Amino acid sequence: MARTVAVFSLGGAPGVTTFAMALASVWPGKAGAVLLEADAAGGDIAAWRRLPTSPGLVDLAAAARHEQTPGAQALALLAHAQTLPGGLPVCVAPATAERAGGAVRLLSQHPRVLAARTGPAAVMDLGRLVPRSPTAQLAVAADTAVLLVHDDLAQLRRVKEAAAALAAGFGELGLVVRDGRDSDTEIAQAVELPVWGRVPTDAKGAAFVRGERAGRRPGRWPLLNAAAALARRLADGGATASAVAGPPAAVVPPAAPPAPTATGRA
Amino acid sequence: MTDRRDRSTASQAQVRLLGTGPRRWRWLGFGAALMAVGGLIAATAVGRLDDRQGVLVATGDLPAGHVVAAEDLKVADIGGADGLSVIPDDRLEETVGQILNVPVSEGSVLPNTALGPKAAYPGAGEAVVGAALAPGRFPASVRPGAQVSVVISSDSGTDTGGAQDGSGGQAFGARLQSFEEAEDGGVALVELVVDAGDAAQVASAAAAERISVVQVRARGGD
Ligand SMILES: Nc1ncnc2c1ncn2[C@@H]1O[C@H](COP(=O)(O)OP(=O)(O)OP(=O)(O)O)[C@@H](O)[C@H]1O
Ligand SMILES: [Mg+2]
Repeated sequence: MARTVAVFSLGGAPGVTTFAMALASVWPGKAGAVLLEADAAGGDIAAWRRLPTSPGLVDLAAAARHEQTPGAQALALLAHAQTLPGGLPVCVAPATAERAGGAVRLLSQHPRVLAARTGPAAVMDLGRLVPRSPTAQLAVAADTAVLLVHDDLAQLRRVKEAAAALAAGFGELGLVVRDGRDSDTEIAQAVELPVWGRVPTDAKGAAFVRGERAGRRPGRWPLLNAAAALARRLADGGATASAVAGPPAAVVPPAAPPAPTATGRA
Repeated sequence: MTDRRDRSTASQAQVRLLGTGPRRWRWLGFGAALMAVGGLIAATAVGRLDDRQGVLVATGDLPAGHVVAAEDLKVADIGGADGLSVIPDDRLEETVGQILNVPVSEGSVLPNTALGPKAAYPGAGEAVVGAALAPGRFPASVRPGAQVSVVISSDSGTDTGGAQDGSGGQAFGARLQSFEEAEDGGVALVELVVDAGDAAQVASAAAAERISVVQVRARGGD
């Protein structure tokens, strides 16, 4: 069962912030999830939702140095979050890379505040992942990682080249593919990572997440719907078992975790 | 969009987000103005992000029809609240004692459309009927604000059936105004807003424990 989920891209702005926010907002269970915007390049949510940037990531990073007891650590993330209309707690990043980058670096040195075993799950928007960066260190606090990628050649190629190193760094890693016509199986085999889901372009859903559009039943819109499907899978711990798997174990690089056994579509 | 009925994925996800209240369409207008006028106004908008204002936030889940008490409210500082549907903290005192028109969930900002004088609740031509519903006579997932159908069965002993309003049953459209599950036995205390013309019939059936509540245009399918 996933408790801390990292969502990131390798560039190309496939909609990481949007998908992470959607994922957190539909997380199953009474406690739901809290969204942590930990993008070292600077955040968007505060501007989208017209929130101040404090309380937020900077305060969390500062507090993380001091919280020693597991109880205080478990509460820290929620304590530095703001609640959006509708009830989603978000811990927002400052807009500039200067401030956000510093906070991510600090937080990456004290990641235990992200590993609470009780209360809401945590969904982290890590933005674009750069190897050996503080963001990559922070990502290690996650027990599950979701790599969002556009179904285009340049991005998939980048994913393929990074796949082995990424898979070694994360407990559980899967792709969510934005748009595209290739099948899950084709993509999984090409990049050697499992495909956990697809997210379509959904202008209405994205505007809703940015707070620019109301919806009576946003859960029916493709973006939220895709997020809900993944949230349920991750929360149930069945992500790998029910996803379209990568290639058979023989061709997985040695660094990769054991290949999932089931290959059937969900 | 295409098939509204059986997308369990879509229909059952609870989304802990609100896009915007109707008032926030102003921001869209504002956005359009930004595009038209360009940099000058954009600069103003960026500046606004740091203007903080205290606004009222609910400390717990507040059902529609609830009379707001001081302990139901806290103040949160948010930036750029001008023109948004919020209640500024300087209206805290006058807010206490007013009635909520809409349910507001814990931690949410109170929209300034949420408060109304008593007369606005129920609306013209509507009436509020209270009922105690036994388990099985309401969907467990039903929430305040849901459009429901109140089904009156011919006698209290029979099954609580489905949404059919055919033989022996009669159905009335209603809105679930409040919903409270009693501690013991799973009985739910509900307030139903019905057409004033149906109120007498629904109320007497409710008193005889002959009503079931069925969610229509459901979020939860079956
Ligand atoms: N599934 C989607 N359908 C339509 N529009 C989307 C979708 N996802 C994101 N968008 C829009 O694309 C833009 C960029 O999205 P977002 O900020 O989520 O991307 P990102 O990957 O986090 O980018 P960055 O790397 O800049 O942080 C936003 O305007 C967003 O509303
Ligand atoms: Mg982003």
